Amino acid sequence: MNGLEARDIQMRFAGLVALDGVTLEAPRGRVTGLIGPNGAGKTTMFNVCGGFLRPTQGRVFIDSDDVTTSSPTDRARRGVGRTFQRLELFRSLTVRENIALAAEGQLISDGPLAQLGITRNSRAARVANREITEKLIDDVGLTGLADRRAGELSTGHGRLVELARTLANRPTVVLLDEPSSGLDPVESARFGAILRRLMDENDLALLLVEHDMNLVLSLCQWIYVIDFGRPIFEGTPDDIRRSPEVQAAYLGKAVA
Amino acid sequence: MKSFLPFLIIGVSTGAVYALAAMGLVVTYTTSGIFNFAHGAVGMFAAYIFYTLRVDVGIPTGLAAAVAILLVAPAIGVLIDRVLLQRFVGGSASSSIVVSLGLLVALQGTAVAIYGGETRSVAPLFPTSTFEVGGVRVGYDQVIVVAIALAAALGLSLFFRRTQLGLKTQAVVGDRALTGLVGVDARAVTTFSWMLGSAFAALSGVLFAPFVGLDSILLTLLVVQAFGAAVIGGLRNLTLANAGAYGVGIAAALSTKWVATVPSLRGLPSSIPFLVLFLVLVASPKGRFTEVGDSAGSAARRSVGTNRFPWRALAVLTAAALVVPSLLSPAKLLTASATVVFVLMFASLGLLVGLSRQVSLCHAVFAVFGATTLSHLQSAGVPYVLALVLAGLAVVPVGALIAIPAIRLSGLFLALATFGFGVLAESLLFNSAAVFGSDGVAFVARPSPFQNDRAFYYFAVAVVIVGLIVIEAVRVTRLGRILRAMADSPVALQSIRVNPIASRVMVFCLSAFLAAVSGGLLGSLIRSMNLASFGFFQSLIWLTVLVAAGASSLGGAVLAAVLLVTGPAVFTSPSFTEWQPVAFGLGAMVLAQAPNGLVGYLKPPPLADFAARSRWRLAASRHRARLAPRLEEAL
Ligand SMILES: Nc1ncnc2c1ncn2[C@@H]1O[C@H](COP(=O)(O)OP(=O)(O)OP(=O)(O)O)[C@@H](O)[C@H]1O
Ligand SMILES: [Mg+2]
Repeated sequence: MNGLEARDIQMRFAGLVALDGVTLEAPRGRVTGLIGPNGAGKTTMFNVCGGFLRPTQGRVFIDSDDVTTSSPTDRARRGVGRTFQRLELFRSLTVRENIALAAEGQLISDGPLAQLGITRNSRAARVANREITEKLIDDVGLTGLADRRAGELSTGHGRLVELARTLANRPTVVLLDEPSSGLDPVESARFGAILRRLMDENDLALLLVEHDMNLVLSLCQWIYVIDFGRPIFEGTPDDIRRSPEVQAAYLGKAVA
Repeated sequence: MKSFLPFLIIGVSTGAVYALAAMGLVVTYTTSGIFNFAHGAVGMFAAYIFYTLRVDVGIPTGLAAAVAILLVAPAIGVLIDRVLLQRFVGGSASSSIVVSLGLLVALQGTAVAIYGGETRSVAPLFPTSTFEVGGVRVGYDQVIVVAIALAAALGLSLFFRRTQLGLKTQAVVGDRALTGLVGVDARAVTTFSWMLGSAFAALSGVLFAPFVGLDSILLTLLVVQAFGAAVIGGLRNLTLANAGAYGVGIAAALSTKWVATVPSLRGLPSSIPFLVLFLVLVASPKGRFTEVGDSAGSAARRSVGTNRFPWRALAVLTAAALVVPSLLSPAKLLTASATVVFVLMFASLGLLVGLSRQVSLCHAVFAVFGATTLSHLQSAGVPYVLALVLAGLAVVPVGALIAIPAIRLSGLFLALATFGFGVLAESLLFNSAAVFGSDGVAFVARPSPFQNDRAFYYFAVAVVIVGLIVIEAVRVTRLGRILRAMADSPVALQSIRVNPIASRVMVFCLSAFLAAVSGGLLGSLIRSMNLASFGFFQSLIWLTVLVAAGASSLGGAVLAAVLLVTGPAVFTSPSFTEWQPVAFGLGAMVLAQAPNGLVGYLKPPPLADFAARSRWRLAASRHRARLAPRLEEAL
């Protein structure tokens, strides 16, 4: 299968079982949702898929290759890009530098000379690089802020920088962890529009963890629901709306 | 065989002292996740207090021991934990390394300021009479020391297995985050472990003093023997650490016998612990030494420094450097030149400490190697500038050899490896003819057109400015951006497929190169360099003064050079020089987590950052509050 696949994942932290038997598929060309109450294990699942955690059981595949034991950098090379629930910006770099750092990675082999700016890349490659950076800045609507330090931005803008940085790396599998948290409804709607356009223009596998149900139900074609680390439901947005289990898991939590 | 037995016995008894030190180190490291470089200094300080009370004040031995080991040392432990480290929870690993090094320098400096720098021999603690077993003489004191160490090891293991507090401590070691859930106060447990660890350090210091004498440096270095032993246990396993300690003790003692016939290896026995440390680090597979509790959030990390090349600052600096000689009496010109050269030295260290958050504790060794290599090349007839560059390049492979295995593991291990290498170099390599020649002095000539002090001053300024341009240029390349990005968010860097290890190694090598060049200049300035010019301890002092002044910018390097070099020339009273290192140590402790040391406070701090963060928190909590109703709506 082209895209991301995680099979029967179990993740233990000392005594705590954060994930137990979670399987999911995020094929290319589809927006896949992963939802569940706070502490359900969504971020842990992302960390397992991105290589930041080694699962205690189960396997992870990218484009059908087993990558369970490979490092985050290695997976990034295979096309996995992600954002973080708690913003992880290069706060002391400008917005443009944040994005360019990721864009360059595509063209330069990171040998010693390349890091000092001495590369054999053609001028054309460098120009292309700069164009991609500028296009992404434009696409996510950060043109006016490109020379500000990322640490000075609002969360909403910070999320956009993270998204642009992730895309600058030209991933084929994109994991977004609560991209709309900290955004106001207008920003959130805008974010949704950006994602839709993104899906139209590229053959991406997008996996979305999100608390904003409107965004999830409108964007995703298939949704997985987990609770306390266990899968409790999967289906289309319509199935989710009708499912009593999902209602129970969410509303039980929301009331408590 | 029989000729080895006496050495074996010496080895076991010194191993026992190392074991005590190692156990203390392991206890604090596993519970707090902070490696205490000042462990030996705490032991040293307690030893001074013990012998002052016992010999100078005349208090009975038992009482003096109780005061030093059970009162003073635990009090220092509480101080370290509550006053120094509490502020660093969630901070970067490099700032806690700097804090404990600051403490080391401050404690050692205090001991020297109060008691003087000479070694003081002390009366033995236990009866030195001997008895014979199997034809070998064994001292009662040796037996007693080993008995104490074994009893302490046993006591510690019972403590962990049988007592409530011990079990709680193990829970904290196992998983800090979960202990709150089962009703263990992790803070209190950590504080207790610092008290316990310091008491062990004190005990080993008190027992070690009769062997080596009261010597603030030698006793401070006890921590190194402890490292060597503790890394064998992966810094976490008490049993292995104990075994390692006896192994190190025995190996060192046996090597004394072996090197008795080889004068150039005189330093080998005292270097054994470092060799062990080193070999273990090099041989360790990645992952064996993951740092305890290094999941620190990025909130506390923040790299500083500009994105732009500081043309203006460099121009001002050059102009200032050019007018200075006309304002100074010729006698002060040497100080001015030394200050200028130290600006480059500190800027090279700042490239490492400030930009890439790595700590090098052997910069003084690089400087010495730079000077001696320059001297050798000069005698081979290589022209000055070329020789200076080659001298710089010569340390690069040395630096890479130390740095690569350690950087692969983590920042802490780079600090450990460079510390180990610094001491090893001083005790072993400096004595060899290859470094200082057979007389222990390397003569370094000045370039021929710049023989007089004034001309050489201008030459030094020129080289330093070129060096600074290189450093500032690196900051604005992709390498500089990667390093700053790494300080901000290592995980994000991985997620965009940048592997920062190559960057870290490169910046380490560049820093070593520039340190060696500065060393060469310093050698030329004073025209020679000898064994005593720069001991490894200098490296620690340099680090502390740089952190106190500000490691992340050119201004910090200038201020550090002024504080270190110009200060003593202006304030010539002996108490100034005595207390100077203490001030640097304290300064580093206080300012380790400031954005950019003292110079960072010369400008208004970047408040915008804080504002952005609190706005995010606010938005996040609002978002959570909104969540429930919106879900209901959607479903
Ligand atoms: N490194 C870790 N060590 C120990 N426990 C962890 C770790 N990471 C996550 N957990 C635990 O695993 C569980 C799942 O956490 P996770 O962050 O994956 O939840 P989540 O679904 O992302 O929640 P949220 O909606 O709040 O983001 C939680 O109980 C959390 O405390
Ligand atoms: Mg989460």
